[in-house]
Amino acid sequence: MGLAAVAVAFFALPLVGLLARTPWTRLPALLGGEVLLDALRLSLVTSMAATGLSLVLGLPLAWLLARAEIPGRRLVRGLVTLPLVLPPVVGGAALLFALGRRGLAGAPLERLTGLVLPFSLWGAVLAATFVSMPFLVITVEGALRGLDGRHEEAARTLGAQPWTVLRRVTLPQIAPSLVSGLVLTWARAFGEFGATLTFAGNLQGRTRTLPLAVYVALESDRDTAVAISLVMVAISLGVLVLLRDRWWGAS
Amino acid sequence: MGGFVTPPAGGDAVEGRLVVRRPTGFTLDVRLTLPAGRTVALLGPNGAGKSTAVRALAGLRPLDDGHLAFGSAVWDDPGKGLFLPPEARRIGVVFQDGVLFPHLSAEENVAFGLRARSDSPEEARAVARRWLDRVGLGDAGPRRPSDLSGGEAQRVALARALATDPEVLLLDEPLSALDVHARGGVRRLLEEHLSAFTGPRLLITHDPDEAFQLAAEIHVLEGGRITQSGSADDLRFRPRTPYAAEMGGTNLVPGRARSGLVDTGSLTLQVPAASTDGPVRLAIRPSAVAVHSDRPVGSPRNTWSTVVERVDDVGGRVRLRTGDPLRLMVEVTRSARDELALERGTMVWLAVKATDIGVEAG
Repeated sequence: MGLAAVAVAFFALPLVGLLARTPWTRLPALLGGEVLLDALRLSLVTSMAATGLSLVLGLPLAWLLARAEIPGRRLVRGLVTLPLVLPPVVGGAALLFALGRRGLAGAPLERLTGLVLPFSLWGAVLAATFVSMPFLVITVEGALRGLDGRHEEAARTLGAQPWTVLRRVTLPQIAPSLVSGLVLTWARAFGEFGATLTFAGNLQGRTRTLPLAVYVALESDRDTAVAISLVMVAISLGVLVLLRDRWWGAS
Repeated sequence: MGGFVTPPAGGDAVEGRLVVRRPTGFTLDVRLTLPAGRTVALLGPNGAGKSTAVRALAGLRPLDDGHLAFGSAVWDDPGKGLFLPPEARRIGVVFQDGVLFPHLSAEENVAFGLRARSDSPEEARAVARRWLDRVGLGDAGPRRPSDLSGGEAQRVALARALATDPEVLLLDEPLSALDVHARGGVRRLLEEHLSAFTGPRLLITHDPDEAFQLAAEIHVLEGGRITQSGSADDLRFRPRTPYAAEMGGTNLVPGRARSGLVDTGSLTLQVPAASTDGPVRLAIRPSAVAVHSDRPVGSPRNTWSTVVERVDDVGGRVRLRTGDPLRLMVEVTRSARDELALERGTMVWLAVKATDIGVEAG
């Protein structure tokens, strides 16, 4: 009991500390500040784009991992899981070596298309996607594996083309997992710091998302740091509420 | 005018040799002909390859060898590289325990195939409602599969399979997942719809009673091979394998139950007390019937005298068919036959214990 209480306090105290330190009278002005609004806009754009990219690329990958008989599937799954355990800074550095202007793939990319990824908005999106897509892939793969494949077979005997089976049988059945996978992915992308800092830099209005803005503000203007933190706490709580039926439904 | 000739309805047969090899070393290799307007049963124990055969027929598992055709349409011919996917075969499949789409209502389940074949949503819903009516579930349309009983789910599954107007009907263990009470009703519904269906129809089952009741022709499947084909009587009196002999068994007697007694029309039998009242089918195993030359004394109260109409030696055992008032198949040992001098025309007394009679809602 005592140790559990310590654990609860350990989670509650920082939140209380944040609220205690909040400059309530200045808060409205701080929330409307350019630094915060720039960062908020960037965070929303990058996290949404990373979530979208994860969906477009991650859903087929999850399908492949769950269903296809491909050689080296375990290797691929390990590769997908790696960003979950890799320190994000290292991930960002790796992205830089691969996609930077002198990088393995970055140099030919710039020569061919003129596209420069690092220290750009696209860089921030890629960094966020790198660390967050695994959440989508793993959640959806698990759901696909848990499906009773006979429903899809029944649909085909009823004359449904494979695309119709996917749209009307498979996706509706994994919808709850897909939604929670998307929310997890988005939350991870929203909070991304290390890989973004390393690969996309810290340029206000271009790559400085909310977490980076908090970090910068802590050095110069603590009130702003607290205000930005509060915004992120509010958004994170919103995500928890969204998922409450899934995770808290049992209690 | 008058030169228009209507082709015989559903005249095409499914015909083929199905060869499927599983990585476990199991091989299914059967020749099958499913004529139009006839119910053929594939009867076999678990693991005999029955489901594999259905999957091959439905196109859910391509053949490794052999060929499969419906009329002049080739469904599968690995030798020639031909394969028609399931969605192009116009089949209706009723799966074991229904396999209804859990996220769709009963009506949407039945409408699914019609929608997939590009009927308009309104038209599909109207047809779906008609089919739910026909299987006696006219008001179950909005319910989800999770709110349906096993019997109701299987009725919806039958409606779903028939609603697309298939050319071939495949029933994969349609009754096995049902409890005794639901089984009778669904079986009657199957009987009704099977006889109305003009195309080939295949019943997969491990239950000989189901095969005897619903099919005109039975193939016994063991270890991936058909070991015997024929009518129910062929199986009963000329079984070729121990499994077929085992399967050829149970007598089924329709009757009406009232407080532990069942009136079979000419004879009233005592059955286990817990049975429900109303129409029932009694299952009596041939070996559960005792044969005496004189009226037996003692406990069994279900006794009657009759005449032996037929005697067949069946792999070490002897099967008798006995006459009125209750025509049964009875199994005795060879030594019993010799002791009682059983032959055609012998008068005997039969006895069955109430506890040896199975009762199923009819």
